[in-house]
Amino acid sequence: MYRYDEFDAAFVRQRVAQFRDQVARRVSGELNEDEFKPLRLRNGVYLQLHAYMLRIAVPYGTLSPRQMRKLAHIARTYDRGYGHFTTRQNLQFNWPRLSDIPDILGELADVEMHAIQTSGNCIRNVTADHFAGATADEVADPRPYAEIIRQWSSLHPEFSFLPRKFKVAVIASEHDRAAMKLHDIGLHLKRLAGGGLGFAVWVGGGMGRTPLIAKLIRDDLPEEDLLSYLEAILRVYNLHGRRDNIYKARIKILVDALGVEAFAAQVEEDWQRIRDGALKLPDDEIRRIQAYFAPPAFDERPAAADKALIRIPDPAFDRWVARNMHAHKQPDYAIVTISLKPIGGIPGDASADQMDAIAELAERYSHDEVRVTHEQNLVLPHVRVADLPEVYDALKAIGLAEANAGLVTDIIACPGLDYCALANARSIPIAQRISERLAARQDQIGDLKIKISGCINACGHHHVGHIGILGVEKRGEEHYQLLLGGSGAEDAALGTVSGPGFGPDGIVDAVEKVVNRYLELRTGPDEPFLAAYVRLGDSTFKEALYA
Amino acid sequence: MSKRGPDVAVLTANRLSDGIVVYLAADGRWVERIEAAAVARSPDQVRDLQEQGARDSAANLVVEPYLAEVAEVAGRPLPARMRERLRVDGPSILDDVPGYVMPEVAGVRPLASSPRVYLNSGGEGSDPVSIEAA
Amino acid sequence: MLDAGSPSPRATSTAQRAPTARGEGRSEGQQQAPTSSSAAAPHPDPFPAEAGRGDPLPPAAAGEPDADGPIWRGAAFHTDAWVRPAEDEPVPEAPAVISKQRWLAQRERLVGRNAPLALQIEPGEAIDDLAADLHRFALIALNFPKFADGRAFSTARLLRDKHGFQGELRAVGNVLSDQIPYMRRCGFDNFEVTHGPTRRALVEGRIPEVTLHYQPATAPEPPAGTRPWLRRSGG
Repeated sequence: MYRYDEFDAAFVRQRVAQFRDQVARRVSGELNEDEFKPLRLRNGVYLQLHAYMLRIAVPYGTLSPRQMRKLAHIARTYDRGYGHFTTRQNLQFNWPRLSDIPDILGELADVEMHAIQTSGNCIRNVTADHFAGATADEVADPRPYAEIIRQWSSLHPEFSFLPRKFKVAVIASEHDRAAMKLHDIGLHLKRLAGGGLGFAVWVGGGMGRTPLIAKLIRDDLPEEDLLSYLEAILRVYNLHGRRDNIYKARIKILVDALGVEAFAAQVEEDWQRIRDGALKLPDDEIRRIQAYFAPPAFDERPAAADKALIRIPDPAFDRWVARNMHAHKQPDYAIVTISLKPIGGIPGDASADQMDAIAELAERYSHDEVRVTHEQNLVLPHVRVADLPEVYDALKAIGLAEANAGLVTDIIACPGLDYCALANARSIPIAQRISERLAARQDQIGDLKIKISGCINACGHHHVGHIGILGVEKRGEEHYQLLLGGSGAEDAALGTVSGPGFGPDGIVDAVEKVVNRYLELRTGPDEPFLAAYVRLGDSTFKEALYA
Repeated sequence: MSKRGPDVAVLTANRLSDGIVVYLAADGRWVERIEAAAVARSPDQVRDLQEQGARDSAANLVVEPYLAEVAEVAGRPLPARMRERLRVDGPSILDDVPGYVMPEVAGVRPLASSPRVYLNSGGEGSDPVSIEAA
Repeated sequence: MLDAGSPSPRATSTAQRAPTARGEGRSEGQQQAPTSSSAAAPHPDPFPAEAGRGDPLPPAAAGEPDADGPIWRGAAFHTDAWVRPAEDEPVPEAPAVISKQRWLAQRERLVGRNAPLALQIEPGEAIDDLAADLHRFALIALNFPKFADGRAFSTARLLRDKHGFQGELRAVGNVLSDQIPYMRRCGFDNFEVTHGPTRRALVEGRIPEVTLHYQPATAPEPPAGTRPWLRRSGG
């Protein structure tokens, strides 16, 4: 993974000093809240329902054990013993004191971390496939490009006061595990006709009040042109994105209003002027960054030569291997998903002790690497198959061995009204109760992604859940809409609202009714929910809900 | 709630230094427990609360003060909206949060029966924690 | 009104204005009779030499150092040597700032004037259609009506990089401490600052800056090491 050099280290130190000064000026009153707010947002500091919230950047979801241990330490020392992993691969602490935040940022800088641009109307954390560098189905590791974009976008003087937030995702596989088409810019790394690497560039995806799937604006951008092309896109957006209405200010609205061709033409015009300028990516710089992401020194010993996998037959372990493993490009290795969705638990939360334990596992069994997924789980990307039993046992000991990756209990939920000042309704308790209700049948139900948002801002990505749930406020009470048939993968689709909403009890029943109807009508266990929905349409599900 | 604002309300805000939810008490201090909050029962009292809130916001004690409608139930203010009830009680799911602990704060310890309420070290049932103007 | 009292195009200080409360825009119609000191004394050129900026401004429009002046340039506040006539007032024979709309409407008349001319561009106004005339303006002011409206950062860069504009580029409107470093990097070289704390921070040299940069911008900046896009500022 990327390692800071002197420049990178000095940069974050300066930023910490700058924010320390800004906090001091706020506390002294030299800055009022209106002036301070955009500054603190640019350092990831929100004011939530109960306290401040600090959102820490985890670039493209990659963490070292040392970094994970630091997060655990911060949770213990400055917060209330836990953290929350988000749908943008970041980590949130819910109880930091403003007066402590400069010190927290200083501690993060010690381990090459920061909270720069995790909020505010600027370019946010660049996310990537959480299986990058380990999966066999990628063209190349997308993360070096994510790192290049991260650097270029950091405190970019022209793009720090955009009309609205700006989110970029990078994938390198035909399987979209980063919801790339639901981003302001989605980049798909691929081989170009000439044999070199390049990108399909998608623009204008996003969720929220006006969900839209990104449009392809360029299919064949050579890698050397990546930054200049992005700069042209951002410039067009900065100049022409709407600033009169925050619900119409994302680039997706601009692309939709201009039309793809007209938008692409405007980008092209500025890009042609700058493409051969200072932002052209030199080949040796790409290789230099790629070198940080070189595969680890895999253990090449064939599994059979290692200790025998003698174990008392353990159906739970078998289920976990069957469910939470993804094929690794290296023989005898596996990619392990650590579900942060214990049955009835809080999606995406981890205690300081759990973080420390996972750091240990990453060190011992995963070549010093952990990933955060946008579905609020963690990943150990490089685990020898021979080590799976020990890893499983260790996860079991900390309560994180649920074999439910991608199952109905692997629910994504935003913090919701329990934490968030923007929310209309609670999302976490709904996730908990759905999980409890359906856990016994989760294997039978199979792949089913439920995503829950507590308000229209859609941080829970409800638009792209196979089943999505949106919390609203109705006559002062919490109320929930049900959406069906969304997908955040390469078959991106927006869910459609089923009909009238439900109360907090009703929504759990509603989900169960939908599941029951699916089980009745599927062609067999090999037809997952989404496929059955596409085949059947929504009328039969509506009938199950409302008849 | 009438269009002009709540009839019976408390003034609530977040403390600037640590973001913790506080309520304006009758003596002008900001307290963490809603039971000690000043309840405004007339438009004049409501306006007084708002003015005090604006002053204390300008004095950098608190951030974003606003009125929260309450009903008085058995002598205690009970917030009308779910949002405000959550601000009183804390997240509804705290019992399920992995590893959740209240931080140790010098001179303050949590009440055994209700982990989300601080008291100062004067003993159980004593004065609510408050902040003073600098 | 504005232009009656100016004896010659080279008179100065016709629009000195004390800093007003934060948020007020340029006041219009204010004039101060030239003082004896300004009329007689030579004007030190406060405009720091910056590579690629072309010739310094004619002294008439440069303003002079004044702790109460609204224009931050280099390392000090200066008077504002420019007047901004209202849309329906005549443009004086003195350094004057006009709107794009006015320029387009009265171009023929204005092209022949002697006194320096400046343009104020509002966010959302195009500049490509001005490309052929940009050399006529000694100064272009770009407005930041709300500090969150970042359009002028792009406009500034386009003026410099695309159109080669070499005159003064001034940030006006809601200009606050924390944006000034970004503005500099985008090609602005002076700033109209009315916000009290920002003025104090500038005078005391207390703008907290990150002087290391991950990307090239418009202002000339030396490289910071061997990585291709790293830059540093602040010397």
